[in-house]
Amino acid sequence: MNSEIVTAEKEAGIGHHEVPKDLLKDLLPKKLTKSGTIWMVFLLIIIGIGGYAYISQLQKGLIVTDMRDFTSWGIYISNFVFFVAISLVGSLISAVLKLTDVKWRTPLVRIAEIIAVAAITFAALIIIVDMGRPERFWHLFVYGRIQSPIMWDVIVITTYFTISILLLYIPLLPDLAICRDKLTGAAKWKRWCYKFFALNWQNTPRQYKIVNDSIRILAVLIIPLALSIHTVTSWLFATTYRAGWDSTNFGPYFVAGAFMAGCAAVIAVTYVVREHYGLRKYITDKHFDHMGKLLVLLSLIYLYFNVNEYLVPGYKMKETEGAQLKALFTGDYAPMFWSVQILGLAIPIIVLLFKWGRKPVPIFIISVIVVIGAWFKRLLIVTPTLLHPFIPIQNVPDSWHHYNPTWQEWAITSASLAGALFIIQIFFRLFPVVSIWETMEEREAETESQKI
Amino acid sequence: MKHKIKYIFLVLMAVISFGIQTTYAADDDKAKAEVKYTDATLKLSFDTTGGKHIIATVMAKDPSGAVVPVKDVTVVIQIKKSFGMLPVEGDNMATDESGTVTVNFPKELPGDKEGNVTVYSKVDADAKVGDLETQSIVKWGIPAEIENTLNKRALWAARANAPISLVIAVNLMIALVWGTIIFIAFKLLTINRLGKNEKTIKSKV
Amino acid sequence: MEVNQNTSRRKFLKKGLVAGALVAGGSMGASELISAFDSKPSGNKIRLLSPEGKVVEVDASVINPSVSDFLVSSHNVREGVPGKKFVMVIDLSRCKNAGKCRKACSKMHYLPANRSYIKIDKMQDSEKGAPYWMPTPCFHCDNPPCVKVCPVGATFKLSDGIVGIDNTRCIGCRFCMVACPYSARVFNWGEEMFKLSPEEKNAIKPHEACGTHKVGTVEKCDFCPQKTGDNKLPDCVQACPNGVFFFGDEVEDVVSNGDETLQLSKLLRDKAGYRFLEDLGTKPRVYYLPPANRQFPFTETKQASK
Repeated sequence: MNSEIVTAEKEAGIGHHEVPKDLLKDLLPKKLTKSGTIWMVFLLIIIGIGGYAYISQLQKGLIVTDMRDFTSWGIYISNFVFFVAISLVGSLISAVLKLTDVKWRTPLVRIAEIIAVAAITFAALIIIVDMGRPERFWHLFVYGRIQSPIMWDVIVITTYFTISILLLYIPLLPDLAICRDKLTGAAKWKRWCYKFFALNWQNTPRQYKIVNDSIRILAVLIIPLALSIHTVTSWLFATTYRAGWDSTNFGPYFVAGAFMAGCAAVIAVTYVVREHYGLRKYITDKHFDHMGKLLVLLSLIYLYFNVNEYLVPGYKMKETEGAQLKALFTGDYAPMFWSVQILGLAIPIIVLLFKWGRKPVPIFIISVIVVIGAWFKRLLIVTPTLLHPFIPIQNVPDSWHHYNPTWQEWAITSASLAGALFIIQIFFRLFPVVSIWETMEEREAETESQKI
Repeated sequence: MKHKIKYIFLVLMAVISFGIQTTYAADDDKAKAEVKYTDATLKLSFDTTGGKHIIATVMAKDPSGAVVPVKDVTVVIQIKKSFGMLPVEGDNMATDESGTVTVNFPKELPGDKEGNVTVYSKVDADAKVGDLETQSIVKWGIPAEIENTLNKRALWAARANAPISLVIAVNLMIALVWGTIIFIAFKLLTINRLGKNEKTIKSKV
Repeated sequence: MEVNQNTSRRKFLKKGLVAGALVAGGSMGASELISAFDSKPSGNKIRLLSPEGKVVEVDASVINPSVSDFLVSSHNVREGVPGKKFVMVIDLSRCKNAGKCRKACSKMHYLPANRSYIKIDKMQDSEKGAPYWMPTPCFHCDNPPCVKVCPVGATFKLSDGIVGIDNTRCIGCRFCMVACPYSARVFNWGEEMFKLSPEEKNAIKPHEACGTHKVGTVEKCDFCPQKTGDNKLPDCVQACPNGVFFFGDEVEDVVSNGDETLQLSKLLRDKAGYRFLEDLGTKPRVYYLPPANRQFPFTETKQASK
């Protein structure tokens, strides 16, 4: 009889047990602190300036940027590629680490997913900002041509966004129920949100089964989709003839870079969140150590693709291709190029190979540098190629021979980054950073294994 | 003195006779030039012996009323095309004794769908016959094969004409992935329903 | 009386300008031109085709009688002239960068003098090779990379070979600009780029010009469809003083530069015609004749650039 009850309880899932008080105290969303408020206001100011810049762009047209007929794509597009790259991390932590049964990923999953959702949201928004006629956005859905790589990008981004939202929401369901049941003192609208989105979660076994099955299916589905999203984005460049873009290597090159940049982004955000919400018990030094090793692996893979991408054409030095490479290696873009490769790639790899490099504070600094390097790397992919067309640029004003983004471009780009961080902050204001029910499951599993 | 007069007389006679000759010669030429041609016609004909030839013939009525060929008239032969007149040159573009000019038809020249080609000929302000022009259609052109690219399936075609393989591949992938997403979305509704049932069970207990 | 004559002439010019403005349908300055319209409507309606492909109904009193018949047709602007395949040949041995083609193109398309859809570039194929001037319009490729990548079908291939742009469909993503290896396309970044000076405005004949400028959309050479559909040569071809440009129909196998009319296949065979960057597989419809036996020695000349 007893064992039957035990098995029945086991099948019933964790919710049948009371949530331990310490988990509730540590993990439930907390009140807004002073530093939190300052950070939010700071982000809102940046978003406001960007909004003002965007209004001036809507009024006068894209002439307020420094993009002209030759450099017709600029930091809006490189920012778009950056956001798509970062968003791959959702699939990395939620799916890849899940299917490979990596245990330590549990506290990081939600952080990774919200980064992914925020990034992909702003990827879509920054693309609308880059359009010459944004009010015609609906043309994509009414007149869309299936032969265009942009249409493929629209389809995969929409699909990836949907699946990421589901992968964020479904594992959140049990926690939403806990919030609904325990946060009785919260504001009325918050309580309504918890109740509505918890979907009448009652911790029944069948409900748990649906959640676990769904997560597994989505984890499998999101991996090819994550590979597609950045491969298709890379095809925006690789399907053209331009020197530096006409490469068969672009798909894997971009995907490898995306995993690396996303991993670094997760580490950086995790560190800040851990310190701010006091989660040292749940996100330990060991987590940073593991993530550091993962980041080294991904960086080495990306280094490999970089070598392929630059050494092979550099060996041949075709005319236009060679001119573009010279600009990168020794010309106008040399400082940016070598900073990105050395500071953004080589040094992080070396530092992270040491155990002390993978301690929280050093790895946080390294990750921030890697993310900044990743942003500038995308700029290095977009601009030098456009400045080296097959027919050399002639008979245009001097400024058309260079690309120096205007304050509006910087403001709008910064606003998009601030906006992504803002979404992340809002999310963590409302929902637990670390998954409560999964932490409980892990504890149960540990005590079980200790009993045996 | 007498010799001098003789010489002067001889020279004078020479001059006068020369003058008379030239006057008569001019009269002769004038007479010739004054042969008025009327009702001049320019006709095109086509000959296939030993290759394709275009023959332009200038005929006119001489003063006696007989229709005779006119010699030494420069004839221009062109083929009428949309943006200009394609000149057809031959060895001699001036009419011979039979009043004809013969040129070779250009090799491998396309015509319209049936192979028709419009040959145009003119005489420009000729002293004898003035302005003449004529044109004629001959089926010597290579029939034009016009490919209508509007209905071809291609990557650069309109969206209705995308390559079939692309259409199938993309739609299949969308159907599979979104089918799964919708399936899972329905499962979420199941969670909701299960929860409602559980709540009623609990409240009954 | 003197005064009456002047006013009637002014009225006639106004009508002509308005007709041109309505026919061109351009957004630039259209409102100020239309507001000049003050003659009484006759009640008789005529259907015109605007370059955007829209059929507009206009009162007959407004039409300048010299408007080309080609415009008053109902042929679908995305289909092209049936039975023709336009082709251009540019003889590089004759080009000395006179720049008249650029000026004519600017006038034709309501562009300021420092912008035109045809560019003249200094090219030098190899270090020891000779520099030469190369005019580059849009090549209207048969395997056009720009048309392939357009997500909304704002640029399209017509049956007569022309690659057209619909400025009412374009969303301004500029993928086509990046995809074109010949840098043929330009973008309307903002109204300041298209400001015409009063002299430039007066120099344009409205019923012959065509401008569909919309801020935030892409533009390029369009082989002047109002002219070529009517069997007239495009403005750049007509304007060149050195006979550099030949234009014609590949189906007819004949091209002309206004003075000389030649058989296309023979011309290309005899003078070794080639296409620029043939290896990319874009299949351009513009051929070049090599700069051999030059008519003019190469000299550096400065072009206008604001």
